[in-house]
Amino acid sequence: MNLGLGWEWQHPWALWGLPALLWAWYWLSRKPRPPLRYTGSISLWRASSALSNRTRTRRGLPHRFSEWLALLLALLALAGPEWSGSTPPRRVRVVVDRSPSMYLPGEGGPTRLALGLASLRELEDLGAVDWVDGSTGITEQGGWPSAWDTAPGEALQEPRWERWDQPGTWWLTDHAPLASPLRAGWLATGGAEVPGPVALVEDQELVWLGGERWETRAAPHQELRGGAGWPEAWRRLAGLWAEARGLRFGGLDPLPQDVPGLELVAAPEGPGVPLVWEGPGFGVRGAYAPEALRGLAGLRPWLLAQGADAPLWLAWEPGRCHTSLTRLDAVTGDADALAVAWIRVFDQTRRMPAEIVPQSERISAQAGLQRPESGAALEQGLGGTSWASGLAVGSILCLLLGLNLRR
Amino acid sequence: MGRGDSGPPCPEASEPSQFLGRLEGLTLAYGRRRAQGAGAGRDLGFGRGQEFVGYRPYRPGEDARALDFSLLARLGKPFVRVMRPEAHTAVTILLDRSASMAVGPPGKWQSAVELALALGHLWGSVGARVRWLHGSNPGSIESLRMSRPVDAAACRRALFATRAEGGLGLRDLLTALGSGDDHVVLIGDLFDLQPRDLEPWLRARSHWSLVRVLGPVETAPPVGQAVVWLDPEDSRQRMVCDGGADRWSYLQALADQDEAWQSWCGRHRIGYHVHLAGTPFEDALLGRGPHQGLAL
Repeated sequence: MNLGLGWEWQHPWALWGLPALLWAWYWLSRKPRPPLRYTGSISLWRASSALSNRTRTRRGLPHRFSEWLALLLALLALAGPEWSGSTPPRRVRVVVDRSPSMYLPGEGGPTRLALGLASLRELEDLGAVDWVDGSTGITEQGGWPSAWDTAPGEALQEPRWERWDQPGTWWLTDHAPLASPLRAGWLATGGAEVPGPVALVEDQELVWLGGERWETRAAPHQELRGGAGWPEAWRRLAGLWAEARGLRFGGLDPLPQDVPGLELVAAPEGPGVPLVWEGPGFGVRGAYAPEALRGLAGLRPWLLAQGADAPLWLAWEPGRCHTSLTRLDAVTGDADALAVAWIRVFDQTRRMPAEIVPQSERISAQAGLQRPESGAALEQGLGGTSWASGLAVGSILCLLLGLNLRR
Repeated sequence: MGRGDSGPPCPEASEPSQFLGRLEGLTLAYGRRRAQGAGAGRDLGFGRGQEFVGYRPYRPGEDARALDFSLLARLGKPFVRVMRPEAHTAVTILLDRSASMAVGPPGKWQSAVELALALGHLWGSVGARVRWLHGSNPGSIESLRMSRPVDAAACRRALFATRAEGGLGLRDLLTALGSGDDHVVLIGDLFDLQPRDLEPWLRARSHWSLVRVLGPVETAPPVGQAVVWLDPEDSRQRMVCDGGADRWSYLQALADQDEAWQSWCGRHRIGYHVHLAGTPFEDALLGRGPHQGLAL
């Protein structure tokens, strides 16, 4: 609940305790009228009271007030106040599911993603948005990243939604999440099943026709390109791999964006520096250009577990496999294991034909737009500072003070 | 009680039923105890200033100090000296009748009057001349004299007709003392009196006694409860005290004050007794009951 002036309550129902607290304050502060008594010894009382006043000063701060304050702070902590600034920015985070199913045709839209975005904008005045790729965690601030209109070069997994269950967050996906979020809101576009190619088997593609019907047909054209400057042995290995996967060699030019396949990118020519690299069961001796792969954005290093200090001589991105090796002198250890590892890299790096979408993504995502009634994520905003912990600590301190004063 | 404008609750004294019978009983009991040498009432001056009237045989258990050793040596039989107070002894009882004595219940003034009359009755029974001094305002000090037994009833009626009021304290009554008093007894709560106030008067008097009358509200104030204490002589004077630290300090101050009185009286061979309002006067004069340790 937004109370203006930047204050928001996560659990405003707790504020219903305030009237009871006011009543408690009245009750506690209500001093019983002491009885009047005559005594002949009032001079003694006067003298002795002056003596005990030295300790009365310590009792001057009534313990009842401290205890009441502890109760008030505990109540406020329970209500969960958040401060988001004097002019609360209406900033939200939209976590986008960029798995392949989101790029399948939706009902009334070119893709489910486009349909979901349009619906989200219709439902809410989004204001300032942080767009988050739920699979990779990449965040784009400002306007909608148009690059996300097209499917990424690789099949991304559906986000692990539990990571994004925070206030001020919306999940944009095509089917209702298995576990409803506690604090985030969500919007599912729905979508009927979309039969089509689901996998490649050598030079054939497996097509799902819906239900239990399947067929195979010739795979679309795919190419292996580049390789100039690659060590001869590995270029030959890549050729064998391409033949087995149904890719044709397309020359040394870069692989166009719309052509599926794999491009081998070599390091600039030069002597390089000696490389002695030991991997899991095998090793490499030769030379490499240390800076060749450093500045390239979006590259993913091979064998990340080798550590940041290890020489980076193989990396990849969807559709491209880069090496900084300038010379290969020898392979030590189990060379077969190294070859298998490289084939896995090629399989992982290869850009699949856009129409190949796993069957799990093509099945129905239920019908219609879904948005739960409790999706109050936008009301809560993003970036508020929670005061609950501080208030709870203050409550405990006041309670301890009150108990101390009571003694 | 209203908010302090109705005055202290027990300003009046009244003659209790069977009061005369109790006085006679006191006289008899006192005589028996004196005969047994128990020393009752010694702090009030009895046993001093007595005159010799004869001998009688010694009875086992009697105070050996009363034995006449010259007769024992001469006759070989024990005899004790029989004494009686001097018939011309003059006793003055000063009664604090200020409003602070109206505190109660049980009323301090009621207890003080009963005690003063009983004391006077005892002295009168041995032929002493007794007078009571009291008053409520300076310039209106009243004196009641009992020179003969027939005056006793009039004095009793007059004292029971008085009210504790005004601000006249024992210090003011001291100025009305004459020069011929053999015994002076002060009865009051002693809150307005200091030992140094008595010092100038001691040389001129033979024997002094002090009886301090306190109410339960003064010796045992409420525990754990705040109280607005009012000055009976001026109810605008108020003091709010709690039943915790204030009470503890008060009781400490009261004990200190009592100890100071005891110490001072001991140094000057003056009898001192604390009498709790509501306690029968017999207890004080015969040294019995729960306050025996403080008995006369």
